[in-house]
Amino acid sequence: MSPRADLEMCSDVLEGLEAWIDGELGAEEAARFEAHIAQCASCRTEKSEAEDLVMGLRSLPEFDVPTRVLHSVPGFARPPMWARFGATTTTSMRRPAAAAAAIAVAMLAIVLVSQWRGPSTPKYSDQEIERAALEAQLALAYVGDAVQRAELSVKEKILEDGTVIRTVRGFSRSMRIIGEAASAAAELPATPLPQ
Amino acid sequence: MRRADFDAVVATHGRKVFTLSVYLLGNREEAEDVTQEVLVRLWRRGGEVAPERIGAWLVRVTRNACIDAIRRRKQDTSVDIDGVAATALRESAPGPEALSHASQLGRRILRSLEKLSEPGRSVVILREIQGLSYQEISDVLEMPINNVRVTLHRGRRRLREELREVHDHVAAC
Repeated sequence: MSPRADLEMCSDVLEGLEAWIDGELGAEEAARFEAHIAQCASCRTEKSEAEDLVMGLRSLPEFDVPTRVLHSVPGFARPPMWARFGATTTTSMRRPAAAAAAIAVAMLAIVLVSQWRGPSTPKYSDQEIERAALEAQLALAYVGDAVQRAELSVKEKILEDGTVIRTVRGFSRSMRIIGEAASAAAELPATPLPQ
Repeated sequence: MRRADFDAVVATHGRKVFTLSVYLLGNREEAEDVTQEVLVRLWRRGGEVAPERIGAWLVRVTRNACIDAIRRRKQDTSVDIDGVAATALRESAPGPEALSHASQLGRRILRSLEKLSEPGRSVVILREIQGLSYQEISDVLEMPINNVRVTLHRGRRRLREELREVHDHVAAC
């Protein structure tokens, strides 16, 4: 075969390679290709790579639906409540809760720091400190309650129209705003607690 | 949809929904969100779909939900989706535990898959990873069988080129 004919054949093989390894070529065409790669190292390499790719793709794993995703869908048979604890939300739902917890801790720290002025500043009375601690507790309880309500709201939203991502995104945005507000509050001068 | 029917459909097709989401999105967490969204839709609308069409319907809904998720991701971050997907594939998909036994080639293929544009990526995943027939892919993507075949072959050829580039890059380093 002339060099020019060889080049044309290489081009044909490259063009029909995928169909060839899928067994979609006619017997005559396949035999022509076989004869060519027996003497063409370049096309032999191409075929080997194409076969490796298909084998590699077919060996990639499939994945079972995570249990927590199944259990968060209203229609799916659910295990008892105790078994579902901690497994009812997807990762994107848990993130805002974790963020809220972090904000609650940050808020507590802000309250404590804003009330403390070191040994050189006048001390607050025991009553004022007790009141500050109580308010911090209330703030924590409020954030905890907000997280709970937000999670319920996410679940209700799922039931309503299945739009998880938008709801979570909105909640995350609210949490960010709260965080920014808390940071801004931390920079304000300390004021006496109301009696 | 009746609860027993729903459970049966999830047992039969749930794996395909989640797997398709993982490979299309290249991110396991997003795949969980999309799968949840699809299953909720199945619960609410599945009763309106003929039982023999439910598999194709689920794949179509999943693919559309993934494409929507990718669009939202693009709007949110203003970052080129190829870059996001590449990072996500490297870092989180399909999960290190599942890939611990996968070959080196498998890992490189995962990294190259995100370079494929649609519908090539969907066709390659549905055909080669999920084992759908040309006819099934044709039904799901609503494209003629011959287009499915051509798209698959082009997609695999593109993947080979990508793999070669990755290999050359590694060799040059």
